[in-house]
Amino acid sequence: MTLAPEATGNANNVTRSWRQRAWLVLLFGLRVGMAAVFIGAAVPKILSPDIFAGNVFNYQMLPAWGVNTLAIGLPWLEFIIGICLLLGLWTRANALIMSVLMVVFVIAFASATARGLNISCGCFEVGQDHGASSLILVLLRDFAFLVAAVLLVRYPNAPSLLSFLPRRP
Amino acid sequence: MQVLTLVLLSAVLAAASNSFRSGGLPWQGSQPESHIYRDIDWLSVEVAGPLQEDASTIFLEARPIEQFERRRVFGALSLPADDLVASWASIRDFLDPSMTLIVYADDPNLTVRTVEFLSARGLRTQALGGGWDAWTNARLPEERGR
Repeated sequence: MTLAPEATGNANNVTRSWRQRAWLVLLFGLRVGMAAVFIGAAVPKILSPDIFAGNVFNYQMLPAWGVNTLAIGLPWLEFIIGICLLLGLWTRANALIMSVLMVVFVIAFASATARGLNISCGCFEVGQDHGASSLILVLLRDFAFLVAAVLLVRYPNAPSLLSFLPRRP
Repeated sequence: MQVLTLVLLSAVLAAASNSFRSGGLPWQGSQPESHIYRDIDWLSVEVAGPLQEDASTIFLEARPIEQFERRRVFGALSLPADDLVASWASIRDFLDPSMTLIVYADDPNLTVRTVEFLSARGLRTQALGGGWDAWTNARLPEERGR
C-alpha cells in the first residue's frame, strides 16, 4: 500500500478511509514499538557498560581494542535512534541504521552459535545470568524487527508523537 | 548525512557519559570476561607470565587435546573441558592442594567450567584473562608437538 504524502503526516486528517487509518495506526505502532525496543535495549547497557563488554567479548568476533569501544558506543546509538524515531526526527535515517544493526546482530549471533559458543545474546539484558539465548528465537525476533525497520524506511512519514502536537493556527 | 550525524552524536554522548561516569570503562579494555564471571579469579597475562617459571604453579589447558598438541603454554598440562571427568583422572596424581593452577583456553566458558570443576575439588585455581590469544600476543614461552 502506498500513501499520498499529505495522508501520512497529519494524524488529525479526518478525510481518510478506514484502511488508511488502520495503516497509519499500524505504522504508528511500528514506530513506537521499534523505539521502545531500542530504548529498552539501550538503557541496561548504558547503565552497565562493563557487564555489556563481557557480552560483546563472548562473541569472540572483535579484537581486544574493539570490545570496550563497542560496549560504550553501541548503547548510545541505540538510545539516540530510539528517541529520534519516537519523536519522528530523521525517521528514514534511524530506520536505516536499525535495519543494518538487525542484520549485523543476526549474523553475529548466528556466527557465535555456529562456532559452538553457548552465550547470552546480550540483546535486552546484560550479563550471563539469563542463560544462553535460543538461536531460533533470536533469529525470529530480529527478523520481525528487521521487517518493521524496513517498513519505516519505506514509509518514513508514519505518524509520530510530534504528529499529535496541536498545530499552530 | 543524517546517518553520519546520528552516529557522531551517539559517539559524542558515549564518550561524554563514559568520561563523567565514576570508574568509566577504558576504551581499550582487557579481560572483559572478568566482568561477567565475577566469581572467578582472573589473572592478567602480565601477572601470569612470570608465574610460568614458578615451580608451584601449573598451567592447565582447557582446550581440546588436538589444539594442546599443536601449541600450548610452555610446561602446561592438558585438561580438556569437553571431558573433564576423564581428563581429570589422567592428571590428578600430578596435582596437590599446595599448587596454584592457572587455567586457560580460547573460550572463556571452557575456562570457567574447568576452574569451577577444580575449585570444587579443593584446588587453588585461577584463570588466565584473555586466554591463549593473550598468551601468544604477549609472545610468552610456548611449546609445540606432543
